[in-house]
Amino acid sequence: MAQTFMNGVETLRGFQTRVDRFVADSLAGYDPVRHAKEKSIRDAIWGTSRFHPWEVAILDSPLLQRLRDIRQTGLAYLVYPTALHTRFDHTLGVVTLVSRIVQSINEKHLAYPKISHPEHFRLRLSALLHDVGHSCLSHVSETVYGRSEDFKALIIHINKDFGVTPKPHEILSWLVVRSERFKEFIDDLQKKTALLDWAELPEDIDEIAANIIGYRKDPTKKFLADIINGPMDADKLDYLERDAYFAGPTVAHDLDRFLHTIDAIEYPRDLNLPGQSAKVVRMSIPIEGATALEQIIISKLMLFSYLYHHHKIRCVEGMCHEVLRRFADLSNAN
Amino acid sequence: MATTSNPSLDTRKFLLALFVDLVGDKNFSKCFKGAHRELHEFFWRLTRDEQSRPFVEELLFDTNGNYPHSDQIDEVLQEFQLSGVLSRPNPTYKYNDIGITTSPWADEFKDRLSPEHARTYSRILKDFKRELGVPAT
Repeated sequence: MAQTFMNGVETLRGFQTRVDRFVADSLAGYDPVRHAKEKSIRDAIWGTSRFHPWEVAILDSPLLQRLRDIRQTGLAYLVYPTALHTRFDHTLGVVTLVSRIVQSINEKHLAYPKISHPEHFRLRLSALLHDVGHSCLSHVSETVYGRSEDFKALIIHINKDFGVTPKPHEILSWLVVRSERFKEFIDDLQKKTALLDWAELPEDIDEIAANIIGYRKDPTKKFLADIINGPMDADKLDYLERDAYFAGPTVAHDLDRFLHTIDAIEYPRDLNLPGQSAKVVRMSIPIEGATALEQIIISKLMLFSYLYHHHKIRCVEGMCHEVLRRFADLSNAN
Repeated sequence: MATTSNPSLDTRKFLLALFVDLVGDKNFSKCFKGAHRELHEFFWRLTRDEQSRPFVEELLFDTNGNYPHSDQIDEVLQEFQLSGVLSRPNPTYKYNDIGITTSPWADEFKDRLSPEHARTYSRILKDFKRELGVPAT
């Protein structure tokens, strides 16, 4: 067991070093202060949304701009020609949806809002950065690198340490936000612009990163991580709407009702689980939102059938997996 | 996630074997309870038991919430639903109806178990029926 743990720690360190290098290369020469201005951005799905100056400074950085070159649904455009939307578009949508979820939860707790302004800002930053670890062809490459032995060791190590089971690209996003260079970048932005006065660095950066893998140290705040990475998080809600809209299949669900009913509810915690707390607060849908939730689940199943598991898309993905595997083998051999 | 060293203990085939054996018992209905928490806690307990662990070695559980939960189990059940092995009347289902009575994968899984694993499997099956089975009316 001790041997496994050490291997896990070393694996994490190895990955973090490589990601640190990638972040340093990506941010080299980028001056965030020049870009730190408030912007309103139009989106085909959610309409016009306002982005804060510090968000625009991150959004304009090469780290986020590379997401413009990664299609949200990978190779699906070969079957659905208009499925050309990108991870960048999706990222903007997730930030907007996070604010709608926060508003909905706080409306139900007007006297004592569950989510403070700094928590809201941090959630938006988690949303902004949640897909920053995506690689070429989105989930197509993830399937290949996520199955490598060292990545499996990393997933098991994270599961042991944090009790969560994130996807490979979420782990890479987590490593990007935890990287020394990214912390320096945020620190620099704060010092030069004083825009991030609400933030208590570096603890906040760790919280922003932890949201991406769905982890909260304090179980009474678990619902905040659920908004970013949970059973029905902002990410899933955006991709369902966006993928259906751009690919073309008609799916119908009452998202407005779903967002209206969303709440943060306290539950007793299984006492056999690690940790001291007997209570946990989760993002939940009360019974009045059950019909809307059913509709969303059915829409998701239909999209899996029409789009994500379409036989021709799976076929071409399989071929790409093989090509990427051969690249990886060649790279390892050299 | 982690691949098991013994190919006979594939979690997907293990689940199929449990379903086939459950529907083969006349004392039980052809379904198992849809209670998410009970289902995930059942398999989580197997990961904590030395003898049962080889059957669920592939599974990783999220323990940061109110009860242990494995996305992998949900994904397998969804695959089973899409392929007709299971049917769930609607998303607020109470039961998972089992749509198969035989499976070559389940037979292969059980045929390749060592005597010790076969004994553990029988015990797990008994617990599965007791905790998640629905007695025949």
